[in-house]
Amino acid sequence: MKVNEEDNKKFAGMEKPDKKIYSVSDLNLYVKSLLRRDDEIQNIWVKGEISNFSHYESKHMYFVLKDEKSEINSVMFYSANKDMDFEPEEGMEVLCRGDVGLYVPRGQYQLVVKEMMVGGIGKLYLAYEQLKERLDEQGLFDEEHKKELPFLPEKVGIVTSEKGAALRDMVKVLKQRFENVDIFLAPALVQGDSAAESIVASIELLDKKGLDVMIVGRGGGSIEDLWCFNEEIVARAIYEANTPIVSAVGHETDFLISDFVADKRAPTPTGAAELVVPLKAELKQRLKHQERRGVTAVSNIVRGNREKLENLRGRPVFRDPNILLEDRYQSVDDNLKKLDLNIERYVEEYRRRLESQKERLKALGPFQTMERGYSIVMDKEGEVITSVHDVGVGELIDINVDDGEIEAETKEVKRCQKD
Amino acid sequence: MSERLEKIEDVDIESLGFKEALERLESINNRLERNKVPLEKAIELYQHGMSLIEHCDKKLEEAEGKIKKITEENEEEDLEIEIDDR
Repeated sequence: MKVNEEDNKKFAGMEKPDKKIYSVSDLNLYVKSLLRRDDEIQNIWVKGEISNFSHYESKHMYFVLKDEKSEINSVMFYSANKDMDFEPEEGMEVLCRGDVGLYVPRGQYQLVVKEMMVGGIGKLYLAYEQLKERLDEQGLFDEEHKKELPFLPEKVGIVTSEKGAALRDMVKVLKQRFENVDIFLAPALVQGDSAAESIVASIELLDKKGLDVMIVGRGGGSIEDLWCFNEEIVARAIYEANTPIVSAVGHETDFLISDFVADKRAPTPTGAAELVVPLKAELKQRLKHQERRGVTAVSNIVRGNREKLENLRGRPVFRDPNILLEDRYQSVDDNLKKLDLNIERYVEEYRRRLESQKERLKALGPFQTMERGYSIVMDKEGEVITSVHDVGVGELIDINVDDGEIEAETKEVKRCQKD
Repeated sequence: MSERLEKIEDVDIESLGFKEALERLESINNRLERNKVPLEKAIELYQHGMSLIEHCDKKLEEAEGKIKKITEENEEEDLEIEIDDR
């Protein structure tokens, strides 16, 4: 977008613009990007009448959308129109969804149509889209509000037409899968003007019954027939109910609003019945399986314990308890033998100790000294005389020498001064 | 889980739903299969398991369900629905 040197020369003499100069292409490109950036005019719904319709070799469709006062060029590329179930015609009232853009080569502002619907359906669909968006924003479809279906319901509610095949299909499947369930039908009109009110009343009626789960639905039909399931009051009744609700309207594609708001969606009434109630035979099988597991596990434990017991019982002690006694006998004998030995050794030891003490005593005693010539003097009473005071003159005394006794009489007792 | 099973005598089997009973049964079996259970406890668990099975069986065999029609006037009436069994 820069103005180059040449341009500057070419436009010399003209008043120099204080803003930059655009080329036409750049301008158109810029406006195109402006339009694309504006979310307000992207993915919008526009209603109008088709004119100047042409369907090119390229399979793209070009036409003008107009109303009484205005018109807009429109294009619908092959990628968008290939799945249409009708061919647009001159003068047809249509509802288009698309993005506002700009065709750069012609500088032409246009609607790039992604989806086109005709007449009444178009209006319905528009209302549907708007309601869906609004309820979504209000959190009616949030996962956190979805209630879990009970594993095995005892009371199942059904809101549908009393006359329709859907009811018979559901009852049949419920009974086939699990004949013990109680079924509570609250009949409702499921098409026509008062259908939505009727469905709401029946949902509220059943919700008060304290059922385990509720199926709300009908068999397939045209989109107009099913429309009551797109009504806001139905959506809110489903949302408000305390009972878990399965939406069950027979249709393949394009979910209905009841499908979004329900706790679970089933593609058909039969599908809903299958969803709600488990197959009894399967439950019985599961139960049987658990029973077998339990029996096997316990008998394994019992066998394990028995094996342990057998192992213990197989040990020598249990096979021949005498072994225990034999061992004891032997042990007693052993100990006796040891005791004998110990006593002998003990006596021997003491004898030796006695002997050695005797030797020591001998060494300390007087007898060896007497061998060397000392003697012990005693009075008549056998008291050893150790002092001059122990004896008087003329008394008889015994003089013990190493090899005998000498009897003698004292002639004089004299005390000598000890130095 | 084992803690929950510790006091099996405290459980009122009658008050258990089928699913709860079945899940209890499964965890008892898991415990028994781990083979670490003393014999007395094993027998106790086994008996508890058998009671659970009996309870589940009863739940499955309860009398055939009824079909009732509820009207706006809040009346219940028995409903006969012919089912094409072909």
